Amino acid sequence: MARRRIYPGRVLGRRILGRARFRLARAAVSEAVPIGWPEVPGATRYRVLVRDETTGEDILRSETEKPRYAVPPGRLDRNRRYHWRAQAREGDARRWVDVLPPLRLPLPPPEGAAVTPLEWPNAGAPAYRVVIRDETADEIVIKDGVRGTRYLVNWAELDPGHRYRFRVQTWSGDGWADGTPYRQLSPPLSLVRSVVARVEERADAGQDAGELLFLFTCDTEINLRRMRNPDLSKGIEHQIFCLHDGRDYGIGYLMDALDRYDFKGTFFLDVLLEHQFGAGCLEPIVAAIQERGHDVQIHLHPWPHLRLSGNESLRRLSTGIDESDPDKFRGALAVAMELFEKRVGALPVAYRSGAYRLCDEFFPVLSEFGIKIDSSLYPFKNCRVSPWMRARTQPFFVGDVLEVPVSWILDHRAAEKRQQQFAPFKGDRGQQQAFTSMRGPAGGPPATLVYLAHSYSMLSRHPSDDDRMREKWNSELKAGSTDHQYANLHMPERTPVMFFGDPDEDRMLILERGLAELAARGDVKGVTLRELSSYDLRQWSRWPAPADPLPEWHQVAGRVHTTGTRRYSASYLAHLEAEARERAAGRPAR
Amino acid sequence: MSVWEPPEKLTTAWGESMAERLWDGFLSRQPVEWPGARVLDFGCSWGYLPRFLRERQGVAEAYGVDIHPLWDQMSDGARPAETPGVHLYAGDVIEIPELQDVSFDVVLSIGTLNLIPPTQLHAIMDWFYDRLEPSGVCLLRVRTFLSHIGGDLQRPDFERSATVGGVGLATPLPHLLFPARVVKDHFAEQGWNPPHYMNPSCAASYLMLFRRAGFEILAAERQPSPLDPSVYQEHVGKLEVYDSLELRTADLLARLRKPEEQLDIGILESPAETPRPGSSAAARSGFARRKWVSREAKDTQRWGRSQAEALWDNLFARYGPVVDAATVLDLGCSWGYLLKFLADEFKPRRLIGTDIEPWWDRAEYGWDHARLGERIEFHAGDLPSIGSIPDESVDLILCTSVLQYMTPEQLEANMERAYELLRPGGEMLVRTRVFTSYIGADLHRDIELPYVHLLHGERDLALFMRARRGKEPPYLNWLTASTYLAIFMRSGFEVLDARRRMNKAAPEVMDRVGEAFPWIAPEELLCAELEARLLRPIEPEELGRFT
Repeated sequence: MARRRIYPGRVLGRRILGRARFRLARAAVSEAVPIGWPEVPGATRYRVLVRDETTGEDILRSETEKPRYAVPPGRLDRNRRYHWRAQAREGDARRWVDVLPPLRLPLPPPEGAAVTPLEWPNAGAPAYRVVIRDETADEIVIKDGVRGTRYLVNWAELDPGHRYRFRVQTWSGDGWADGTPYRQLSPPLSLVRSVVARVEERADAGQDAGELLFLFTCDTEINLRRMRNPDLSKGIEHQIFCLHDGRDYGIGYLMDALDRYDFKGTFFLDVLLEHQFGAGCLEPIVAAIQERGHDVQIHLHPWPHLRLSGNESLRRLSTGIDESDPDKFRGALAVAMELFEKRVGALPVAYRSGAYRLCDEFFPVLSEFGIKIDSSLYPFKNCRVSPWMRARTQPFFVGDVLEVPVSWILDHRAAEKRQQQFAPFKGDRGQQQAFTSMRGPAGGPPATLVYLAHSYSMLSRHPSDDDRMREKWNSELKAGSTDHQYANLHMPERTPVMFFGDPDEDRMLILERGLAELAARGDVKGVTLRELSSYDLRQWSRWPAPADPLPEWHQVAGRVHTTGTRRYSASYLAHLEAEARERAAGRPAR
Repeated sequence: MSVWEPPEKLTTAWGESMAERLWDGFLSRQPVEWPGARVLDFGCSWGYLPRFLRERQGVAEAYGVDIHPLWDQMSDGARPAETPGVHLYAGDVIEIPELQDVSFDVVLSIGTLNLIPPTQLHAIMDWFYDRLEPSGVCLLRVRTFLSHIGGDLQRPDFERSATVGGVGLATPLPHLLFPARVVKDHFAEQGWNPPHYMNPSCAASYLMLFRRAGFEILAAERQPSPLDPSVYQEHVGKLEVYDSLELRTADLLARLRKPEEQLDIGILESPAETPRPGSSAAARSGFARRKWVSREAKDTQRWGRSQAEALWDNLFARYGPVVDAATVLDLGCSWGYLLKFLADEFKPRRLIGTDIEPWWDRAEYGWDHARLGERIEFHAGDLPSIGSIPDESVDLILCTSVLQYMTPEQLEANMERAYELLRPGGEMLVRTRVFTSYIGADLHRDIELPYVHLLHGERDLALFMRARRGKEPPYLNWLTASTYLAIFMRSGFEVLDARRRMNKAAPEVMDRVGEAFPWIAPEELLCAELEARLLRPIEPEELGRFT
């Protein structure tokens, strides 16, 4: 590998002068600087050239008959670097021949400069070269030739926070040869700065307090059992567009809200609903989302949609996400992917399972279909993944798939704690602030904050314990559907009854506040899942903290505090060991 | 008592090959006059090295000590203990009667010190010192805990390992990624013997111990970890708290010497060695003696309030802990000044103070803590011995300037108990002085030279304290920042934040320290105090509590 050449002054120009700019006032040199070189047999005259390394300008060119010279101090500045060359000429020859390679002019260090003297044994060489390597930056930063066996390292030219090594080379007449092995070069102890924890230091300095990616997601789906009067023909209107008095309180409302704050959302579209609600139901949804520039990705609810299909092989796939059978899941996903491509016009890059039904076996299947990102992990409902994944709150890889968990907090009340998803729920304003005040970690990849809405999120909820409500609903369903539909969609006894009602202003206000608070922050960037897929996703394989952050809303204290979940858990160790066993057996690790 | 060893290791052929490797790779490079020397190999296994030194290098007498008499179990029938000039003993080196009157020119220990708990190792280092002739040499090779195999948990086919029975993990750096409890449970689930104890010290802490025992450190060499840097990068969030030089050190090789002569303790009071406030030496060194607060002054409410305010403003507030409605425990609470501050300024649900001594009952602070009723409780004793605080009942533990007074073993036991007391998601905020502090031995009231404990051995300082000050020096452990962090992690905590507060006092003396320990990076060597936010994270299995 070619090593980058170090040009005199390059390091100074890039790294050091920026810092030293404040004190670049000229520091005069008070006395002439003596230099000398070996006498060249037959030489009648010598020429001395002095060059300012920073500007590349020759500041002196002088001739002498003796192999020594005193560089006058007039144009020299102790805050600059110079190198010099001696050349010899024989008799009347016109050509000047270098006596030595360019050497650094040994100026006295600036007043008060921190220096480290380096000395080495005299090997009888006419010149030596000190090579200083910055181990932190992984590059050579200084190559200074000198005549004698001593060199002063001026720490104003280096970063004392970096690790350095140095070696000395000898000049043989033809070139430089290594004289000593690399040795450690440490700054004077007085220069070592107070070492503050890296993460906090970066945060305190405000350099990169951590970007937060806000991913607004909306599960775009219909649940017939939430319609007070079940009517398949009105499902889209009721729960996707949520039309009330001619106004859209569904995905249209959500997009309006997002647009007000210049965010774009990702709409996980349950494409299989076409099997329940009929051909043509998806197109207006896709059009509504796409024409406003939002993102459509795939959502999968095989049940009850595929159950209602007239195709027996499709019906068998209706439990595709209820079991941990990769083949059944593959079958259901294949149907959905094909339909998605037809209706949306492109393949999805991100996936969300219906009702968070996720298990380890699904990840390789998602990868087979080219899905880059899954956002189904929510450990409190239908989650069947290995324990090591459940407590993760920030993106991580499972095989080739980046899992971006749904965001949740702990709601800490006097007697208990319970989890709360980032969704337009009714609750304390502080709960929402626990999400919207979340910070990304300093350094490393951005943190993610995943909002989970549904297309019907703005509608009010009306639960009921009245069995007559269920009976009435079932009888209406029976009247308006086929026997097959009724058999699969009716509410069995003891099924909780809950219908969506009118638009709920509180929910709208909560959504609006959350978006406003995030939009007001300079460090929050709204992205869609498709946009996220174009990021360097592998950056999330190195999370810059030992635990995953988890906001905690302390109701009594009225405060948000961030705690964390274990990444390096017992089950993670078991997982890593299993992976290693797979690799050792020559099988690709999952 | 017998111990299982792979049969191939209990053969003359294996031992000779190992001895030659050790000789070529380490011992032959040391400027030691081997012929005629009396040598002790501590942790000698079946005695292959003593035999090699006696037979091949002409040492006069070669002693070997191991905890088990493996030389009686040779699988090839050899009888190494019968080699002329070789003396092999089993047991604790400090207890073996035949060794107590022997003096040695060279003491060796290769790959053994890391198996010994710190306090026991301290005693053994003292014993080495006592048994060495003046100018005698100690040649030590020790695997550090931060080494890539510092937990000795890996499979032999992954890396060399002493794990009995050929079992172990394939995951790199498991001991630095997972708490000891997790690893132990994993071993149990696999049906393996539990992992054996490993000393938690990093290389810097070992060097501190060697110096503390009185040795001059003539040379130290760090052998780097062979792991690919990408492995460290993959876990950067977990590992970056450690000093990077310590983290990348696999083995520490040290050549120590017992000084020719005992220190003239009078120099500890000489102006040259001890800059007096206002003296030219003090001015040069930049060291100005602070007014140290007496015990009596600390027994006042005024001091307590100002101390608590300073702690809150400069340390705890940085992490924004929630105190209202929380149960807060102050570990090492003295008379309870911090708890009083919390009671005055917040609305904690419950306050708990613990300290070795019941200071809260002894002094007249004018604070009637009984008025807080059941909201406050105090417990005298070492935290692990206090059984009346239920597990997972504490939200927040605060602990400042306490851990340095514990032995490393007490420290680990206290951290483990603190972990158990915290509820999932709870945290501990810690500030501790580390041994590399300019007052790391707490001698600043009696000896003005800062860093004196890094420049002189413990026994010289103790001699000075007894002879010139009429008292014993206080006990402080010798751990450096990276070892503290390793112990925190091993106890189960996740280190969310760690800050090293660096020494500022006496730059000239600091430079002397740097010259005395050129093998330690400034970040570790110049650390005065360590502050950390430690999380008792929520485990995946605990999520069910929040549904």
